[in-house]
Amino acid sequence: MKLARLTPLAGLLLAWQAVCSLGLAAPYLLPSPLAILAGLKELALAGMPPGRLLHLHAAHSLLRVAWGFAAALVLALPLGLLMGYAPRLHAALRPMVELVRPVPPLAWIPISILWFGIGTSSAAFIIFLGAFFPILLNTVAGVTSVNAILLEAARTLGAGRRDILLKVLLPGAAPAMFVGLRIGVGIGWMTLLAAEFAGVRSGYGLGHMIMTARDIQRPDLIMAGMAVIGALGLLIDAGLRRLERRLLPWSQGS
Amino acid sequence: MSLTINGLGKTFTGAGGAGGVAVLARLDCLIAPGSFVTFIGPSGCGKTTLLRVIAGLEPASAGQVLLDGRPPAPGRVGLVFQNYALFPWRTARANIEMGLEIAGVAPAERRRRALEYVKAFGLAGFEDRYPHELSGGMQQRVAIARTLITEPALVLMDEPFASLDSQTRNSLQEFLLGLWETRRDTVLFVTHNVDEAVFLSDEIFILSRRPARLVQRLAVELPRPRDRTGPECNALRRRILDLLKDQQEEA
Ligand SMILES: Nc1ncnc2c1ncn2[C@@H]1O[C@H](COP(=O)(O)OP(=O)(O)OP(=O)(O)O)[C@@H](O)[C@H]1O
Ligand SMILES: [Mg+2]
Repeated sequence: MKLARLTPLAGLLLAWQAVCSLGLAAPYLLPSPLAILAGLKELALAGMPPGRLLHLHAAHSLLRVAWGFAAALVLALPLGLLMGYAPRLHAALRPMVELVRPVPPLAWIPISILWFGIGTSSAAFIIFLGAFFPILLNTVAGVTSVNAILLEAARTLGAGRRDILLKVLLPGAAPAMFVGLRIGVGIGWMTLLAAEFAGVRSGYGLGHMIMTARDIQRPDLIMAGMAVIGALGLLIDAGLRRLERRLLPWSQGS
Repeated sequence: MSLTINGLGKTFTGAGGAGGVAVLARLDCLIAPGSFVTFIGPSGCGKTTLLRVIAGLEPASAGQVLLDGRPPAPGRVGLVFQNYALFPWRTARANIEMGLEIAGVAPAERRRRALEYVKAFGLAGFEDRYPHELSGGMQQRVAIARTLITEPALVLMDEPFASLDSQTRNSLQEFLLGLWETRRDTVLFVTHNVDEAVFLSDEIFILSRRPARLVQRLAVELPRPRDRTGPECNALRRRILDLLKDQQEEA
């Protein structure tokens, strides 16, 4: 059953390999799947630039995302909870949110380099911006979507503001928060690459690795790097989904 | 505790304060401690609004609600909602514990008490299920347990059995009566269902169509358990139906 679902993908890879093996596509434009696989091995064992190994590139990238994402989480979750709870706070902050949110995170790259210099902090800042708004807005939406009847039920059980906030709105908004986290981490991961294209100081990072491969005209390594990025993104999302199932077993959605 | 309702009025003001909807019109009644009283009235007459005002979820526009002569303290009036209003993220047991948790009862103690309720309410084996994993009848039992465990001074019930099939409804009515006969809570029950009112109540208050006022107060002096289809119940049912029909026809 599961294997059957993979058949189209396998077919595509086979066709792709066939096109390349028959010489129908220039190898310097479209490397074959097998060449990409070999590239992956080269990245892992020899490194790009030579000596800088794949897992270290990945570790640096993941660390940048972790920083930016953690900062977004720590700020956006409580702020979203309060904004959802207090309409006046929401009204007061909304214009600012609406002003900043439409600016693409990538548009912040030049100014963040000016502020933080090239390096982990500027990349983390970009990721922070990318992750912050989805988490904030989904949390607000989650809080406001909690059925008012549940607030009343809690009130008839003697709940005060604090109980309402922590025992009703927080758990009620948790599934929407997770949606925000998943979108946020996805956007953070995408923006990371661009932030790294703009330069890294340590010489490590998947974006930097790919740009180096491009400089020496190695499409196989570029695409192997892309595959790694995709796989890591998938893994992070699967991890979050697992966490959600464990933390929110009552929520059947998503 | 005795409940006094004095000239209770409720008008919902429309947007901009214009064109209010009068829902309760000067309602007066006195309910004796430990009695089971039912309010019955045409649909949309203001029964839910009445309960919400008594529970303090909605401010009164006029008059007052007094429990033993004083406005009720928050959390002292329990309300069982028609659609259960269980917290979906809490298991049956955690739902039942909610009120104790809010009151600051220690975890071990509230767990012990919740499990007593789980047993008494026939929920043993289901205490770790989430609401969506329970049948409607079980969900409503969890909701009733959640309200009663806090020992409220007054228990309000808003058509608690309306969305259940008639078999489940009958058995829950019997279950509720059994509970009430040992606990003697003061219960204010709202229903559409004349049969239910006759089967359960010490007293039945018949409400007019909106804005609700008291049309008639009927004491039900039949011994319990009552025979739902016996001649006394049937006679009473007919009387109530006639009174309700008058309300429909006036409309
Ligand atoms: N928040 C509100 N604002 C304005 N009007 C309201 C509000 N709540 C209720 N009403 C109106 O008050 C009237 C009575 O509503 P209520 O729900 O109390 O009636 P009910 O007797 O419980 O009805 P049902 O038998 O359908 O349960 C209705 O006409 C309703 O539209
Ligand atoms: Mg109602």
